[in-house]
Amino acid sequence: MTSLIITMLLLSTAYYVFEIDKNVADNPTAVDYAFLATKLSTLNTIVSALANVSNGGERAILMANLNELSSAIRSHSYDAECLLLFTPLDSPQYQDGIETSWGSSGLGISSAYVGFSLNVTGLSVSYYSEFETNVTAGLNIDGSFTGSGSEKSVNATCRVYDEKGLALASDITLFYQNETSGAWISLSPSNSLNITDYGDGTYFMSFNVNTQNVLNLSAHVHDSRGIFVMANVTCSMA
Amino acid sequence: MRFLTDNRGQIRVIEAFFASVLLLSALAMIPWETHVGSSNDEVLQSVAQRTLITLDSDGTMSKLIENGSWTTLRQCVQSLLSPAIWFNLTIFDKNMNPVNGIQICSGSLLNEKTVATEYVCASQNSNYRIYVVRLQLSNVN
Repeated sequence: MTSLIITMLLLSTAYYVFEIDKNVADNPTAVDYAFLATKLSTLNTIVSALANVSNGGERAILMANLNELSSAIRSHSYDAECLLLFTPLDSPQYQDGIETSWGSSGLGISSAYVGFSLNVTGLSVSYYSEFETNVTAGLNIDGSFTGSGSEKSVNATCRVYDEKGLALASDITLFYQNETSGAWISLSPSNSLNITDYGDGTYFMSFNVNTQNVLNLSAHVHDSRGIFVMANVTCSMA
Repeated sequence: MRFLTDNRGQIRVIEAFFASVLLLSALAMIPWETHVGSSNDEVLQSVAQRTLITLDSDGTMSKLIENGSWTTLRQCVQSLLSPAIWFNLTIFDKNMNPVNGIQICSGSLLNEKTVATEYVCASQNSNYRIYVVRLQLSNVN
């Protein structure tokens, strides 16, 4: 009886170890590579789609690009079957995985959020992972003006963000509105526009405009990845 | 009465239990698979994979491909590899048509034995493109 118990104990332990061992990746280096390579590709794909949509493209481009990527990854995985599934986030903020919130309170956001599952099955590699990829371009602008006559001196600060924190912009275009519901006017050299780049995603701008008491400011920004984001703000008297 | 005071059976069970614990402890310390060390091919494969991932970590690779900056791309790969490694980089579009107009390599191949790694490179450009990048490596010596 004792021998039987000990034998059963040994066998069950061996079986347990065998089962655990099956779930552990056989080739961790190959798994790391497959995972990292796929994650980078998904990130680049979402950046591309968000750059497209934020510049006026259709939201459906995200799904189309991800389908293309999934198909390419599957057809170029020779030593394993690599299945990439994705679910763009649908929430009050995100539709089809994309949010473009370009508000009048000085804050603008262009963002994309997609959940992924990667299932790699092969002779030397078996792996399953779920991960999310978020790409965001954010803009915060605030400003104030001084001057008693019709010509006002305006100081404004723009802060550009990506999903990790402050980020560099590739271009900033400023517009102003000197009457409520009036036309947006692009700032020109005649406005003595001066932009100071602090090198960390913060931009200080000073310029002169003709207005009485109303001054709305609009900043249009492309981040270094080409993602467009804009925000409007009503400037206050300093 | 004699049966109740005889503890030999219990001692046997305890003994067997300790023996099994000892045995399992010994088994746990033995690795299930014996690795004899990475072969040269595996090392090269790993180097190729790391090189491609580093190149694409901030979207640089697709930008260089889209701009046709083959010389810069060659210099980037060269800077990431040891001088003792020969390389040849070939870029294909998604239909496997070669994209690079000139050869991106570090000279002529001295060792017949090469290792190749492929990487699916997605562009960050709003005009989306997928490239398949093949990096072949070989030890010069």
